[in-house]
Order: sequence, then structure tokens, then C-alpha cells
Amino acid sequence: METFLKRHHLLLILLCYFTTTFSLFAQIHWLIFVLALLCIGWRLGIYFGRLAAPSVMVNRLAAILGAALLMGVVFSQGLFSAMMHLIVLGYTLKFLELSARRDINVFICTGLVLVAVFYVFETSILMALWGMVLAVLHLALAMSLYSAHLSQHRQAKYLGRLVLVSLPLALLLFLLLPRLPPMWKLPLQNQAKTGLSDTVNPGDIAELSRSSELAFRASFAAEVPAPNERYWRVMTLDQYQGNQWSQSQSIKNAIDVAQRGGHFNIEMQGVMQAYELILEPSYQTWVPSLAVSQGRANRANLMANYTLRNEIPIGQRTMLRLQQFADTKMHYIDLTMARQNTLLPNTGNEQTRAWAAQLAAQSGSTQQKINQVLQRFTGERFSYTLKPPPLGPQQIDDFLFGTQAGFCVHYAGSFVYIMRLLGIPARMVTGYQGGEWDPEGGFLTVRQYDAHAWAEVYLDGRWQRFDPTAFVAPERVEQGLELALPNEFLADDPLSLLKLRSNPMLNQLYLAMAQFDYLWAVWVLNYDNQKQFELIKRWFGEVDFFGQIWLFIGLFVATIVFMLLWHLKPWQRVRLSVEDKLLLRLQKRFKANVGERQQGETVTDYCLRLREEADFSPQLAAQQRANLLKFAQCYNALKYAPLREQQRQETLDQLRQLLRGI
Amino acid sequence: MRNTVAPILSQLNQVVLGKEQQVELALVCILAGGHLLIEDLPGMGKTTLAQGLATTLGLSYHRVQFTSDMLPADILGVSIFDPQQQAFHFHKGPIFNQVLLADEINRASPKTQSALLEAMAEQQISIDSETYALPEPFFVIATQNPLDQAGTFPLPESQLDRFMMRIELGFPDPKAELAMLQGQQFSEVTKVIDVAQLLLMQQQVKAVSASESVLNYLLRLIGHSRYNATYPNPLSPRCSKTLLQAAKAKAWVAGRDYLLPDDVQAVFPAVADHRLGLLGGPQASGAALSETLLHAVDPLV
Repeated sequence: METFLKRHHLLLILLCYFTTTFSLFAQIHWLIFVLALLCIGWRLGIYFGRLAAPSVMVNRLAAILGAALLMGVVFSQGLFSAMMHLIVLGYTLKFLELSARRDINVFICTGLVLVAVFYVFETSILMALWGMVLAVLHLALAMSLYSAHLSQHRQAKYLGRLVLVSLPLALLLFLLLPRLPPMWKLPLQNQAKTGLSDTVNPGDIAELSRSSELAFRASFAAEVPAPNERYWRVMTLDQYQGNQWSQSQSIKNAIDVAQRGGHFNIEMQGVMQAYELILEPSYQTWVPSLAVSQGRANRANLMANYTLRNEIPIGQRTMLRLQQFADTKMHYIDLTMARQNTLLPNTGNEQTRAWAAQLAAQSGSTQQKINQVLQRFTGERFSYTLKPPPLGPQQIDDFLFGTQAGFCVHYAGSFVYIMRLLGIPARMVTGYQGGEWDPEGGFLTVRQYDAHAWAEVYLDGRWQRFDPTAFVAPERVEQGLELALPNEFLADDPLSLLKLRSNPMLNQLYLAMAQFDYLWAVWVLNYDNQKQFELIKRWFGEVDFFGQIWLFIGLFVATIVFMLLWHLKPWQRVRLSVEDKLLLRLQKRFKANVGERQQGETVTDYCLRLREEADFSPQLAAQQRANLLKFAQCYNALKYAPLREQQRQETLDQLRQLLRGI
Repeated sequence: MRNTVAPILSQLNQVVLGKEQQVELALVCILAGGHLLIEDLPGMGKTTLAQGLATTLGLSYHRVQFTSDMLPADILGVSIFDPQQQAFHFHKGPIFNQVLLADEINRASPKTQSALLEAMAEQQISIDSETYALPEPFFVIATQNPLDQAGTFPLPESQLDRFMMRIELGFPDPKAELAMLQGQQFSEVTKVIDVAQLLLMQQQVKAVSASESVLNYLLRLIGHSRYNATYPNPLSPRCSKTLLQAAKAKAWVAGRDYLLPDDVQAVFPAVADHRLGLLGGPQASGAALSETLLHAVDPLV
């Protein structure tokens, strides 16, 4: 019964199983692995003849119990996870009943579905290649099962050819198959949120600055903003509680509204500049944007503080198309906002309060006073550092009059604090500043160490940006963190590849890899309806949705036809002569009765056999038997004798008549 | 000329009773101009068939009984010093006949066996730097005992390849044997045709047309034996030539001017068995191999 399942088949099955499940390790509940150990143990027991194969009842019972148990454990993780676990469970339990080819078919198909699931979770190029390896492993299993008569070398060659042949089809499907939105909601894995968080302590952004992870990349339809204009606003923090900056309840409410699709309507002014973001997964909903931007196609919704929120957390590399209206002023303020943005704890930081009171008592315009505050950061002994000394409970006092060394949050926080002491509405803005422009690839790379905090002050009827960091360390804003703090930049990460970039060759390599990764993100991961539409438009002109479907069907059929032609090569086929066609008809007539002509049997022998074995109606038997012999003679004459054209025609007619008479 | 085929066959069938197929093959072999090897146990009628064939076709023949102490000169002839003319004079041996009946050829030593080589291939012999042409036509009809019989030297492959056909007679069926015992065997063998007629027949055999598809089939048969590990001894180009000649003769005997795959199949075992089989191996293996070969290659494509 199990003769078809050889040792190397079992090894391949195990290899497929382990590579696939370990690739999904993070998503799979540990119970599955316990179950896998049991099942594989049993399977090996059967293989070595120590254990009997489980009965059908046992199998069913195991399946039902396993499913029930697993559902109980993972159901809270959402439908997608539950379904995935069901598939993995089937994949695992299949070890108990690998008794027929059909079982291995099921195993292979399940494995391929799991490879598809793997692609849901992993999006990088390397992982894509690995997924292909997994798929090929399963195909190799099928190959070794169904082409056992071929040598392994031939099997590998054949498999390689099949995979190569299927690639153009896959590409066609990918490029042109009309895309429907997914019918399920992807689960948000239990991943930690990354990037900027909702509250900011003075040390937070300095912490983020130690990471060289990608935050997002951007490309611009027209020109790139100058380095000191690259302020990517992520969120505004309007509440200070003496030790940290956070979002007030009204902002939290606004975020809630925006995540459910609410859009703050303002009239955009001036020239529009379109740009695209490829966001790395942050598992949060914020979207970095240049002031003032709006999303397209309702994916990123504008809020009253002029920041954007996505409707779902960014759990995968996501592309967003945004439009910036640089001339639009941030006018919006309401009473609650005005109040909230001047609110401070009643006590604390007495030195600063005294200094602010002194400032307030001076004559001069608000603008002059603001300048005076900023001048203080340049004029005195303030220093910009990633490792500021710790601050006591009176943070602002300690910083302004004590340590005088800090990172952007320290400066922005103190500035906003003083503004509020002066009665001017002010808020802290966190986001990213700068980024590395790759002129060849045409995209801007923003990493976590570009995280930044600055201030916005409501002045002259609009929110205006003030960045105190630009006064203490202008090179941070102009050239980025690496040049601003050459000694502290990524100091905790001595092996960071980014540090090797002083070597021109490595730098070149790094840039090439980054470009490739960017293209992958833009053209593969975020190849959506719109990109598809643009592509089709470029190749085939304007096509509507149904046109696209027809186009797809047409191209698909054309590809299939091309591949069939390539495979069958009809132009190389031997053309059947008339007598051969007649012979085929004769064979067809007697197929059920006697059978076809056998390999190596001549036509004469075949006709003789028909004469002996076929059932004829009694009246016509003699005539038909005679005709069969004549048929063979005529056929042989036509095929092998040198006949003149006329003779040939006559014999052919005779052959036709004989066929009718048989 | 074809009307003489029937009388020849009927006379031979009365000499060797109940062996129509083998008799026809033997005639086909002669018509195709090939040498014939008849192999069977002693007393099966090998020599009778060979003699009958020679007589019926009106050929001069000489029978040589091969023994293990036989020397090449016993077959080819010998140069003897003539004291009167003070010169060596060549005395022609039994090979200078249109038919040489080499009885029990595998009893002779290899040296003697190979003396036949040149004669069979070139239709001439060379002795003492003199070359003597053999008569036209020239046939070697050899009989041999199965190799597992005591006191035999197996024929080398090179010599086996020079025999167009090897046929086995086999035991007669009871009816034929009964007829033999009742004395119905024809003892008076007479000449049916003469040499000129035989040569004419051979020419007509050569004129049988072979279409491309039949030649293709023949080549596929031969090729299959070469590119397939099942066959220890692949068939030579000489074999393909021989096969074509034999098949043509078969077609001609069947009354056709063109070759059919059936003809090729009919002569194939006789032509190929002794070439496919392993030397010294069981004799049946050659027959089995040619059988599988015929089944493996389809006459139509």
C-alpha cells in the first residue's frame, strides 16, 4: 500500500513541512508545533514499522479535536489567523494519513496555500525569493512522486523548465488581472508599534535617533523641497503635564474621527505638488506629511491640526499618494484649541516663569519677543547632543538654566513652554526632518534617526513653524543628524552598514540596493489598481474596466495559445496522408470491439486480427471479411508502392469504398 | 519468372515435410544472394534441405563434412608441385562450387572456419599471393549443431554476421512425420530452374522498390537496437543492407514489386536473431530480443 512512498519522499515531505512552518513561525501558535512533533513521530513510527497507521476514526477524531482546541486558543486573534491555523492544522495532521497519492496531493496543495499566506506577512525581496524556494520545494515533491521513472537530474531539469515556463504567465496575471480589494481584513499582528509615539518625553526622540531603520520613502512629481523645508509633520502635542508632552482629549477625539473616515475640510490654495510615500510598517495610523497636504482616494484623512491619519494602522509597506499645497496657511483655530494651546501646569519651573515674566514686561512686538527667546539659544552656551544629562523634576528650569545641553525635544519643549507663559498659543510638533535624497533613484529616504520635534506658534492669524534646534545646531536642519553630530551618530551601533558608506564602492552598492528595494516597494508591493490602470493606458491606450477584463482574457488566451503552439509545434507534426486518416477511422470503428492496432503490428496483421476477432453481422460477415483484406492491400499499395497519380486516385477511391463496406 | 517459385517451393516442401515457412525463408535467402546457416539438432533434416535447395536450383554443389581435424586447405584447395612442369599447380578445393554445403560447420576449428571468411564476403580466395575468383553465383549453406552439443566451436561474431539468415527447423508436427514414415517423402529431387534463371530472379529481386517509409521503418528497427541498452550486440550496417535484400526477396516471392513492413517483419527474426544474441549465451535470447524489438518499433509513424 505504501510502496509509492519512498524514503526520499518522506524526507522531502519533512523538509517542506519544516521550512514552511518555520517560515511562519511568528504567526503560528506553539500548540501546532507540539501536535507536529506527535504526528511526525507517529509517521516515523509507521515508516520504521513500529506503529500501525491510525484508523480513519482516529484521524477524524484528531482533526475535530485539534480544530476545536485550536479555535478556542486562537479565535480571539481574528478570522484570518483562525483560518490560517486551520490550514496549518490540516497540513500537520496530514502526517497521520499519508497513505495514498491523493494525500500527498492534498499536502502539496495545502503547502502552496501556506506559501501564499507567507507572502501576506513577508514583503521584502529576500523573503519573496524564499517564498519561491518554498513553492519549488513542494513542486519538487510532486515531481519526485509523479516522475519517479526519471532520474533526479532529469526531474530537476524538468521542474526548472516548468517553473520558467510558468513565470511569464504569473507575470501576466500579476500585471493585468483586474484587482479586487481584499475581502478580509488583514490581521494586525501583535507587533510593537515603531516610530514616533503619542507622547514625548525629553529623551524619546533621542532614543529614536539611534535607530537607522527606514521610516518611509518619498518621491515627488515635480521638484524636491530644499533640505530645510523637509519638515514631515506627524502629530501635534498640545498638552504638557510637567514631565511629558502628549495629545489632549480633543486631538484624540479628532484622531478617532479621522480613523473612521472623517475628513476635516479646508480650502486648499496655491499650486499643488503631488508626492508619494512608501511607509514602512509602524502599526500606527499616523501619516507623515508636508504642510499642508491632503490624501487622495480617501486613504489619509486630514485633521484640524493639519496632520494626516490613515484609516487602518500601517501594518505593511504601504504606498500613499498625497498632494501638498505649500501656499495654504494653517489658519484653523477654535476656542478649545486656543485654550488648550496656552494651558500649562499652574506651578513649577519658577526660574523660567520669572524670566518669561521679565520678557513679557518688556515693550516690543510679539515677533520681537519670540526672536529674543530664539536668540537665547544661539547666544548662550547651549549645546546640541544626543546624550543630554538627566533632568530633575523641574525640567524646563534644569534645562534652560542648568544643563543647557539637549536634543530637539528639549529645545522645542522649552520654547513652547515659554510661548505659553507669554500667552501665545503654541504646540509641539513631532515628525521627521530632512532625509537623504537619491538623485539617481529619484526618492527621498527618511530613517528613524531623522525624527525631530519643533514648535508651532499661532501668530498673525496662522500657525507658524519655529524650530529652535535650527538656532542651536543649524547643520542638523541643513544637512542632517550625521553631520550635525558626527561623534554621536549611531554610536551604539558600531556595525551599522551606514557607517561603511565612506567607502565609495560600498556606498555605490548601498545606493543600488536601496534603489532596488524602492522599486520593489513601488512596483511590486504597491502595484494597485491605479498603477495597473496607468500601465495598461501606457501600453494599450484608454481602457475601461470591462475593456480591461477583455484585454486580460485576450492576453491570457494568447499566452496559453502561444505556449501550446510552442509545446506541440504543429508545424513539425507529420501530416497524416489520406490513407492514414482512413486507417485511423477504421481503428476507431473497431476500437471498442477489438482494440486499436498494437505497437509493432503491421496493417496487414491488424486487418487479419480484425477478421478473426471482430463481431460482424451474420449476413454481411463474408463480404466484410473480404473487404478487410482488400483494405489492407489497398492501404499497403497506397503507402508503399510506387503508383502513378491516376492509379493512386483510383486506389484511394477504392479504399474509401472498402471502408464504407466494412 | 515468378511462376517458377511455386514449383520450387512445392518440390522442397516434399523433401522436407511440414516446414513451409523455413523452406520459404531458405529460398528467400538464396534469392537475395545471401549465405544460409541452418541450425538444429542432428537428424532434423538440415542437410536434406540444403541438398534439395542446391539441386532444385540447378547449382553445382559440393558437400564438406567439417571435423575438428580439418585444415583450411581441405576446403580451399592446395598447391602441389608438378614434377613434369617443374612448377606448383593449384588444385581447387571443394569451395570452387556454386554451392558449398558446409555440414556441421561448428565442428571445425576456428582456423578452418575463418578460411571461409574471405570467400563468403568477397566471393574470392587468396592463396600464396594468388587470388582466385569463385563461381557465380556462390552460396555457402552451412548447418550446425546447437552449441551446447559436445565437441563444437562456436562461430565467431564476424562469421555469423556474414550469414544472411540463420534458420532453425524444429521438430516436425505429427502429421508431417506420419507422412514421412508412410514414405510420402519425395526422394527424386530434380532440377527446376537453371543458373541463368536464378540470376534473372536475383535481378528482379533487386528491382523490388522500397518506399521511403519502409526504409524508414527498417532504419528505426536497426536504430532501436543501437540506442537501447537492452541489446548487447547492436545491429551493423551490413545487417541493415542484408535485411533490406532479404525483405525484398520475400516481397518478390510473395508476388509483389514493392516492399511492405510485413516483409521486413517476416525475415527479421531469421536475419537478426544470430546477430543480436550474445555469443555462447542461450540461443533463445537472440530470438527473444528480435521479438521485443519488433514489438517496440511501430511500422507506421
